[in-house]
Amino acid sequence: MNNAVWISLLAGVVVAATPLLLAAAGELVCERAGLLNLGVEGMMAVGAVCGFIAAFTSGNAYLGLLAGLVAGLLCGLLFAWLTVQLMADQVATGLALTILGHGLSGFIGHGYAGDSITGLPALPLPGLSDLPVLGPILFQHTLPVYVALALVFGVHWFLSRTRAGLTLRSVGEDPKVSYSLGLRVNATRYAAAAFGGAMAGFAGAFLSTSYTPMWAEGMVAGQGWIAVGLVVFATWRPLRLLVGAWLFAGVGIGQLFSQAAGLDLNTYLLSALPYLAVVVALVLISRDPLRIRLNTPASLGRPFRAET
Amino acid sequence: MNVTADEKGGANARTQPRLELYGITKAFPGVVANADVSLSVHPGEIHALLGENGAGKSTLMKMIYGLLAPDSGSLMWDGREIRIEGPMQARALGMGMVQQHFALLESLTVAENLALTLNRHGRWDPNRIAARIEDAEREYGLKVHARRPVHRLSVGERQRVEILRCLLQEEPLKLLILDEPTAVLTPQEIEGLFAILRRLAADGLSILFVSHKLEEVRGLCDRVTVLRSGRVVARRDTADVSVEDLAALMVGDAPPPLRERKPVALEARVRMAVSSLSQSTLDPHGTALQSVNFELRQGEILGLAGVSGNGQQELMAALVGERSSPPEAILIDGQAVGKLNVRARRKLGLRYVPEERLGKGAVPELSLIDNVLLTRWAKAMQWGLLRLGQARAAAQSLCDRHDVRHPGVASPAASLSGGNLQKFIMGRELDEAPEILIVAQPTWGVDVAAARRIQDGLLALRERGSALLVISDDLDELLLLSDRIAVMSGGRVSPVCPVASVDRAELGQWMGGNVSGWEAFGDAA
Repeated sequence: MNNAVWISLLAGVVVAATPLLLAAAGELVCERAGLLNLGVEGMMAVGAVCGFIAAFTSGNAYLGLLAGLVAGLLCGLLFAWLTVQLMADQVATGLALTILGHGLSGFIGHGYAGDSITGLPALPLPGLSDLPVLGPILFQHTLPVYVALALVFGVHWFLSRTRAGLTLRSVGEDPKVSYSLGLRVNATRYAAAAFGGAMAGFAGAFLSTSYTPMWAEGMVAGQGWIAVGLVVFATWRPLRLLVGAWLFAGVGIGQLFSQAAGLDLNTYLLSALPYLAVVVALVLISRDPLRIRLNTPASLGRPFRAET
Repeated sequence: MNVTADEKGGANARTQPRLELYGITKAFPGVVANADVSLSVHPGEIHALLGENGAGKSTLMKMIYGLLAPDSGSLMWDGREIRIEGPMQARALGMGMVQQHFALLESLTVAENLALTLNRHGRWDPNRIAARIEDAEREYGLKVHARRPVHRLSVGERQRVEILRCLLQEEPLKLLILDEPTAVLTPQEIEGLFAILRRLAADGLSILFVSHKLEEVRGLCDRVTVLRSGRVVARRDTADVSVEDLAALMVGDAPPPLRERKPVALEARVRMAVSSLSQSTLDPHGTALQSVNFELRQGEILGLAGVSGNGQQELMAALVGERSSPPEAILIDGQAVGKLNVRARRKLGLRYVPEERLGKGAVPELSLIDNVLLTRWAKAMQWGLLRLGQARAAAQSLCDRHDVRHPGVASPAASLSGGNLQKFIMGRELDEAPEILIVAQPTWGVDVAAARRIQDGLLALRERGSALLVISDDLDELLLLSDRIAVMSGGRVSPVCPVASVDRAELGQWMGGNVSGWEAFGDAA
């Protein structure tokens, strides 16, 4: 393969990693606050369909992104209302949200299957996009690709350098202690869940307005689950999401390229590669359980109720 | 710095009380925790709230601090009636509380922990926070490491961080509530704490000091309010009252004396031997075991003292088989058991009561009946089936004999108060008359009379020839119960010495991590 192929392959990886990064960064924030939201897949589906419909009816793909974000945010708030307010089980609620999202998106999008829109235009960053090699790989993409990259660093900065981030980590580690210190546990968890939902919805809208500008039922195709897995893979540290998402997307893209190159391999086996890669990676990083436990939000998945 | 210094002096009835409670009542399902409690604290006063475990002290403090809402009664702050909606409001009024279980976030650094409550509305500047911590360290003589994560700190250090946090909070501190602050400290650390508290009180701070330790109350506090079964039974100036009087007020009827101990033959058979047991810890906040050695003999109680968190949990896990170790590191009756699991070791006669009651000693969601079956299912089996009637009767009689107050044997274990659950679990294991029993904190959270019953049960077991290992951070209790005693510190176990020949101060030094004397002491075991 020549250089041009490699560059287009890597650029493809950066784009394919975008929905994973967006959704995983949102889920990471949510989990650092102690909420395990397994509904990412469903929220992405809702974001995708709402984004597509908004883009289709308005003719503006950016409005589609916004609509997806808002739809996801509402899903996140629903999750928070159920688990924080009504103390429903987080795992069950998340699974229900995934199923609901699937069904709802199919229902809403029923009449739109097969319609097509003009996808988001690419926004080459002035100056940077002309760099050799790096330019085409990183800086000739659509808006959400840049947002995803900025988001990862933003979340890292937020969690480690701001008071609100410190509050969020405290709430995730020990809501009881945080409450007794006068921190607003429930408000923090609501905000985290809303952010997680918004990012999942945004990721979904990126799929339907940019990655493949169309709507098809089931188009999220498990990427929400991969995002949930990536958070564990990254041991709840934002910058590691980059490694995970690129690795994942890379295996997926590599599989397409190898097929195109005419390698005679079983396609089902190839499709399973990304998942195998994650299992192997998880096993490797699990070899230091102490470090993992230090980063794991200690209250993850557990409800909090103030005594009365 | 943050302490209002305008009103100095001790318990002066003419000054405006800082805090007054009138007729505070709080009931939980099945138990009245506080009934018609009234109390007042003046500026500059150290006021003791004395009572047994389960007398309702912590509940009362939580209501003052806004963690619980009273069912009835009123609360006055600087002469105005107020309602405290939550800890946020309590802090805004100038209250600070150091709870029995520290409210620190283990994975954060000291500075980050303090930042959570400090200068909440201003810009967050880690350097400024570190500088303020250093200032406060100098001013109050509270030594802490600002940049260290909390899970690396000793218990004494953690408590200093808590106190520092109260002193540094945004609103000037006017009332400091300390819930059983000395429970986790070595004797030397307690002296240091008292010196700091006296200084703060001299500057006008009101302190509510919750304790069940009489000497401390007498030595530190100006006035004392005594709680028994949720009611105030006495208010006294500590200058006018003797330790014996306080004890009588606190306990009511004197508990029955402990049974007389029969001497144990020193050459008695070794039932359990631990040699060169080293083990890493699975808990990021835990302590690794370092070459632990001791022998447990037939007919003796071996006490293992030490501030909790010094490897006791890890040692317990290794001894009972929750974690495996090299086979020869642990012997039961000469048999290498290091690789055997819990069940296999139970078959050899080993029973244990873990420190963690809910989750290890009992399953919170299961009924008392089921919890009895957990360790005694063999007795209720017939033809491979459980006989539930028999199990229910066993649970009922267990609760009756050990005075476990419960809402019914079919209710979940989690519905019992800590003290009652402790009585239940101890009773369950004591009734089995195990050959070898390992107990952590046998009388944690129970009142004096019940503690006496449990201690009596342990001594009775010893007389029958069982071997008992009692792990506790209550040094007085260990000195009362044990034949021989050792100290655990930093994952190491000191030489074992006969109780008759130990020096309390030296044990305190060892508990504080000063292990230089260990080698010189030689192998007394």
